[in-house]
Formats: sequence, structure tokens, C-alpha cells
Amino acid sequence: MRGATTVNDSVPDGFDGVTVADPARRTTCRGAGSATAPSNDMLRLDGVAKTYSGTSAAAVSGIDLSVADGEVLGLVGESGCGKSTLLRLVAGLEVPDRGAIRLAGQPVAGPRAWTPPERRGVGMVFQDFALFPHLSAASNIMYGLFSMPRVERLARTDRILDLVGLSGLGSRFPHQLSGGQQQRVALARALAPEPRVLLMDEPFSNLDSALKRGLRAELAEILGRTGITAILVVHDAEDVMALADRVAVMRAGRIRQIESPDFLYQQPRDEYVARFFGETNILHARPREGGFETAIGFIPCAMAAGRSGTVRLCLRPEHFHLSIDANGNAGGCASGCGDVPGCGKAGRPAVVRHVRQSGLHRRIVLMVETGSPGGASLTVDVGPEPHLVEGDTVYVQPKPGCLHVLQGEVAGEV
Amino acid sequence: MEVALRRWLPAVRALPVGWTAAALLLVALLTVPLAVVAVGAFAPAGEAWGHVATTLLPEYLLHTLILALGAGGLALVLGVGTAWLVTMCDFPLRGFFHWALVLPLAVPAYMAAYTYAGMLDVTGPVQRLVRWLTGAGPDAFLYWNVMRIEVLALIFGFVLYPYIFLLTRALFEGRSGRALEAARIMGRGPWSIFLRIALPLARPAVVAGLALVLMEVLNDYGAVAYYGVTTFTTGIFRSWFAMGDLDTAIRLSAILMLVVLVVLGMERWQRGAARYDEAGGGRPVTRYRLRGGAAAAAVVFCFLPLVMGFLLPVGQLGLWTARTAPAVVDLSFLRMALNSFVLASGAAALCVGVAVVLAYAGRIDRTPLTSSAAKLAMLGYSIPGAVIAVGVMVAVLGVDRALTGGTALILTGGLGALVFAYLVRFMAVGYLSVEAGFTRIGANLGSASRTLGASPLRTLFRIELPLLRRAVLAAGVLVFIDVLKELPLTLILRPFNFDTLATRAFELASIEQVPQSAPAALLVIGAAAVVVAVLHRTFSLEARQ
Repeated sequence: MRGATTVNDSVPDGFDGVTVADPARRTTCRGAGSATAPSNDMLRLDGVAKTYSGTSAAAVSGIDLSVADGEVLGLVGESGCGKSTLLRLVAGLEVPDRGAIRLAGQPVAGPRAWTPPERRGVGMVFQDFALFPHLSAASNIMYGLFSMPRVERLARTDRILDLVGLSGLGSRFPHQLSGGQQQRVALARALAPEPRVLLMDEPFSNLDSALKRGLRAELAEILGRTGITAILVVHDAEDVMALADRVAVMRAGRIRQIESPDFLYQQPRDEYVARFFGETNILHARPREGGFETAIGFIPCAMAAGRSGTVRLCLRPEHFHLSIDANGNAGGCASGCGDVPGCGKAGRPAVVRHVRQSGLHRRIVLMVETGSPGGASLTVDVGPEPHLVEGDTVYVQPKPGCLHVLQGEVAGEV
Repeated sequence: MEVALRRWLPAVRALPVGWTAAALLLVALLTVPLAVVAVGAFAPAGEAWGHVATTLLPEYLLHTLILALGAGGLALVLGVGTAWLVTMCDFPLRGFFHWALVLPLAVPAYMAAYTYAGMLDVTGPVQRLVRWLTGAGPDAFLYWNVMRIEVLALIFGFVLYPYIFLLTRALFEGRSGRALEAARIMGRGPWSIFLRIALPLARPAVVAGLALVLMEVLNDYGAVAYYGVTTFTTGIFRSWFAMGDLDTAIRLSAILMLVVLVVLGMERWQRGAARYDEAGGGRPVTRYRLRGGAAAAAVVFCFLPLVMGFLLPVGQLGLWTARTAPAVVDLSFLRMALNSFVLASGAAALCVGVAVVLAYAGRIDRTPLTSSAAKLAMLGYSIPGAVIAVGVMVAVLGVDRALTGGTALILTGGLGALVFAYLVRFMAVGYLSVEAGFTRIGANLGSASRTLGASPLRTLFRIELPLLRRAVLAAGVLVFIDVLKELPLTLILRPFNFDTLATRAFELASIEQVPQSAPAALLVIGAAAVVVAVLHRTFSLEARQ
């Protein structure tokens, strides 16, 4: 590493020997803004804000974020929510208006600090891959290794090509490669200089869905093997759940919630987060003694205690119990409902409006009689039996202990 | 303002200091000549100025107005008419006219003016034909003077109409072409569409083209000097060369600059928020198929400007060249040609180099600072060469005086001052071409290079420049041609006894050896015609807006 930039000096062992990272490191998972030992933070953002010229709304604002060494953070949110801006800020391609960014404890952007992108040691995979069209795949990968002796450079390029499964294709030019291969070259190029943090902007958006699934598994493996700290901007919830240790959900330039994927699915902070991670039923409810009063009836729940006003409940499609008669017989639960106390009791009558096959389960849309005109619509997962068709009448009831109360009060009626 | 400042403050901290400083310094240098002229206009007037202002200035203004109206009017009719015909109508030779109608751009107005004077004078082919037809004696039309301002105005119109043709054609071929098709589908007739839809749609492009025509008219020195028409440029030359009155030259330059700015301002004002398309929109529009008389009329209408603006002048130059070349083309002619080409190549290379620095600095600095500054550096393309020459002259004299205390001339009368003036005048041509190349590459490749640890300089040489090859080459060729054709600026600033093809042609013409000037002129036009036909120079046309 004679004459190498100082960037890589603090980088832990990379894939020169393709070491498998300490698995414990991958499971590091902490809540946003929670007090943590700063020594373990690879990346830290404090109050970062950026507004592009010519626009009035901030692209991002008030971003507090820390990513642990070896952690893979997913950034999700609707388009235009500021995900990509956040990546560009970390890479040094944009300058924050406010706030500070630290890499491995060193300030790289802030009131008195600025490190240009070439001295940050941050690798980036661009959405359009941004491969240099006049350089071969191998030369693209070697581009970031210019300060290395030639022999070493060639050796590492070979290893990296191997890592991303492109051995033998190094002499091809970008236009001679398929979309998936271009994606791998882009990844290899970003990984080659052993960056401290890897940033990926919508890595799958230019690939078709069949290709994407295979690449996603490979990417997960590569991230695991290299143990690299990474931030992935993704707009698909499925992608982010497969890849990220922790996920930040963004909206309108702010982070709404940052948690593990499971936690986000089970306990979304608000409706936006809930809807982002899969289909959900949002019910307005009024807390009562020992449960919630909702349009589909009273749901016993300890979480009602100490609440007032109107709240919103989040119920996933698998969180319901179905019975086909008023006595609660032959439930159509998706799974394991026999163990749940209270299951087996008949719920509210409802009419099947729509049936859709979704893998093992069927997802049905029910219209529940509520007394008010029109009733309430529920989306519910059921098993293969019994066979339900449009127009059937069933009895539906939330499984006890499955509901989740969203933050924030709601004005208006239940 | 304060909000904007606060927004840019963090980005200012992250400026690529070396690049920004270099770019701002270059812009400052390139702006000096114009600033000198602007400031010089406010200095106390000398006694000669009173005479100029009362007797000559009204005359200059009147002549300029006549030239502008005649040239502008003719160029409008020819430019818009031919643009409409080649894009919206189908007739024999349409494809040929589509590119060939650009060719008159290769003919410098002064060279066309010499050939017309030759063709129309007593011994020329036109008068001989008329005498032969009427059987009149050799002195019948002796007092039939063709060296008139009206004739000159028409000559300007015939060689300058391509500016309007190019911009209007691009507009009809762009998105606006779709609107014309839509109007056709709705059952409108061709004349109704032309007058009620095409013309209003084309207005921004037409006016932009017209502004370019007027700027060329204001820039001309060679033609007006030869025809004895007094305008601002002849006034500037006269006060500088004949009277040694730099003060008056500066004042006239300042007023001429003001006239240009008024033209620019009017173009801006009428354009408002409207934009004109620059490139074709892929699918060709469905054209009107012309037959019989209509088709013949279209062919004649397109041939007229091509003949008058290109074929006749070039043909006449060819005849003269055939007659005089054996005597004229000797070792000194070749040395002069070499002079011209080396000078133009050097200026072009330097101009493109500076353009790359300016465009790249603007690309990486994240603030509007450098790109706004670069706009200032492009102003020179609108300003007549004589004005720039006066500005450079004053600036260079000032530097010499400061360096030597007035005892010697270091920069004055050197090639350095001349090349610098070319940069001031033609920076826009290089910059816009390079800038367009950068835009085509997109920003991500540069960003990728930076995140891979490459400095801006390394990124420029390893990524941007290899991909910019074609744009850089095009920019260089365009500047090369412009320098080759340039006359007034070169006349004022060239070193003593240093001749280019353009200055040689002018000098021979002014001592009534027009046929002897033809080989030089033909060489310039030949080089320019090749480039014009190939590059169409659409992008350099937007420079002056």
C-alpha cells in the first residue's frame, strides 16, 4: 500500500483474504438517537439538512442517524423522500446546509469541516451504475486502485471479479455486459478500494424482477462475507427486509422510524410506515376498560389502559381469525390459532368480496357489517381450507394480542 | 438575496478552491477589454469628440439603421421561408437544400461584398451583358453606381439569412413540428397554418436569428469600408488609424457596445419565457407534397439565396483565382496561409483549453458562482471585433506602461495580444460546445470517479476528457474557422507586417486588386464551407443569447 491514500488505513481487514466478518457484528441493532458508544459508529449524522437551490422544500432535514461498524442500513420511502440525497450527502457529492457528518469519528462535513468525496473512503454504487463506458470491466474496477502497485492491483481486481461472479469477463466493455453483469461490475468497482462505507442507490431498480431476486441473495452474501458497513437505498420493502439489519423509513426529508425490519413490520410507528411494510388494516378505535371499541367490535387488549381519545390500530392480514358459522367452527386461520386463547369464538359476520391467491395463503377482502352504512372493509389472510368464494358469509375476529397501536391521536369519530 | 446567500454559504466552504480561483481569474481576464471600453466612455471627452458626436454620429446611426433594416428584412423573408419549405414541404432537391442553405455562413460578408462589386461594375459581367442586350455604348452606365448602401444591405441579407434559417428550421423540426401536424389534422390549410400557427410559434427562434444577423452587421468592417459606407466600425478605424485618437475610438466602441446590448435586450424582452427547441424531435413531420408550379416556385425560392449568398460569390472568386493564382500564389502567399492556420489553430486550442477549465470548474463547484461568471466571459461573442480590439489595445497599452514606465511596448503589437483578443471574442463558441459535451456525459460518471478516490484533475483527464473528445474537437474546429474569417479585430491588433488570409484579402481589395485577393478568400471560404456543412453550427448560434 505504498503511497496509498490514508483512507484505507483504518479499514478493518477487507476481502484481501475475503474474511468472514464476526457474525455478532451483523446483528448490531440499535434504535435511532439512542445513546451509544461513539467508538463503534462508522457513520454518524447529526441534524443534517439540505435544500436544493431553486426549491423551497428541504430535500432532507433534521437527520440524526448512526450506523455501526459492519451494519447494513436500509433506507426506504416513497420517491422524492430524500433517500438518495442522504446517500449523496454521505458520499460528499452534496454539501449539507446544516448539521455534521462523521465517518469513523472524523468530521467530514459540518460547520468547520469538509472532506471532498475522493478523500472520504466511501464507495458508491449508482442507480444507473455509472460505469465508465471507455474502460473495460477490469479497468473500471481497477480505477479506484491507482495508488497501488500494479501487481497488487491486478491481483485484487481478479479476486473482486471472482467475488461478484464475473471471472473471465474483465476484458468486456460495459456495453457488452447484461444489466445484471453491469450491476456486479458497479458493485465490484465500489468494493475494490475497500471503502469504509458502501452506499448503494436503488441497486435493483434497473433490473427485471427475476434477475433481481437472484442478485439480492448474492448481494446479501457479499455484504455478509465482507462485513462492510453499508447503506442501501431501496424502494421495495421485500428487498430491504432481505438485506438490511436495520431500516430507516423516510418521508418528506425526515426519518419517520428506524428499527429492525421485524420490528417495523410488527410495531410501525404510524400508518405510513405500516403501509410501507406490507398490506395492513388500519382501524380507528376508542380505548375502553380492558380493550378497544372498533367498527368491527370490541377487541380485548391490555394496551388500551391509560389511553383516551381516538387511536388507530394496525392489524396485519394474518392477525385475524375466521370462522364459517356463528358457533366459531372450522376456523380459517392462517396459522397456529388453536393455541391462542379466545380463538374459536365467533366474531362479526362479514361477506367475502374478493379472493386473491398469494402463495400458500389466500388473501380475501371482507365487508364487515358495522351498523353504519357501507360497513368496513378488511383484508385478511386465510389458509387453503375452507374454500371461500365471493359472496360467502364468514365470521371474523382479530386474534388477541396481535394488534398494534399507532402513534398519534386521531381527530374525529370512530 | 440573503436567503440565497445563506443557502450557498455551506457550499462555498466546499468549493474546489483551485478550480474556482482559476476559472474566476480567467473570466476576470476575459472581461477586462469590455470593462475598459465601458469605463473609458465615462472619461472626460477630448475636443475631437464634439465634432464626431454632432456630425458623424447621426450619420453612423442612420447608416447602421439602413443596413440593419435591409439585411434584417431580407434575411427574415429568406430564412423563415426556406426553413418552412425544407421542413414542412416536399419538393425536388429538398434534402439538398436542407443542408446546402447553410453554406452562405461560410462566406464572410466582406468577401461577398467584393465579388458583387466586381460583378456589377463597369467591366463586370452584369453590365457587359446589359450593354450587349441593349446595344448601348461602353459609357452608357458609367454613372450607374452599385457601391450603394442599399446593395450592401441586400448582400448582408443574402449571406446572413442562414442564422434565421437554422434556428427556425430547428424549431419546426422540434416539438413545435408536432403542433403544426396537429393543426393539419384539424383541417387547416397550409397558408393558414403558416401565418396563424407556424409564425407565432417560430417567433422566438426567428427573433433570436435576427439578433444574430444584426450583430454580424454591426460587427462588419471589411464590407462597409470597401463600399465607402460610414458606420461605427469605420469610425473606430478612422479615429484610431487615421487620427490616432484613441479617446474617440473608445467612445464609439462604447456606443456600439450599447447598440449591441440594446439588440440583445430586445431579443430577451420579446422572447420572455418562451424557449425555442434546439434539436430535431426524432420522427420527421408529415410534409405537404408540392407539385407542378408550386414545386418549381419552391425550388426557385430556395435556389435564390443559395445562388446569391454562396454560388455566385464563390464562382466569381473561382474565376478570379484561376486568373490570378499563378501570379499570386507564391512562397509568401503560402507563408501567409501557414501564418493564418497556425494562428487559428493556436487560438482555437487555447480557447478550448480555457473553455474546458471554465466548464469543468462550473460543473464541480456546486454553486452558481463559476457558471454565472462564465456567462460574463461569453459576452465577447456579441461584441463587434473592433470594440474588443480597442479594449484589448487600451488594456495592453496600460500594462506596458505599468511594466516599463512607458518606454517600451512589450505586449502591444505582439501576437499575444491578438490571440488574447480572439479568446475574448470567441470564448462562447468553445465554451458552449464543451459545456454541451459535459451535459451529454451526465454528472454521475464524474461523481463515481470522485467516490473512487480520484481528484477533480484526475477525473477530468481519465474520465471526462476521453469522453469529451468529440465535443472538444468540434469546439476547436468552430473557433478555428471563426478566427480564420475574422477581420476587424485582426486588422487592429496584428503585429506590424503580419498578414493573415483575411487581412491580405482586405488589403488587396482596398487597393483595387480584388481579383488578386481571390485565392486567399477562396481558401478561407473553402475551409469554412467544409466545417459549416459538417457541423451546421447549431449550438454555437445560441452563444449570443
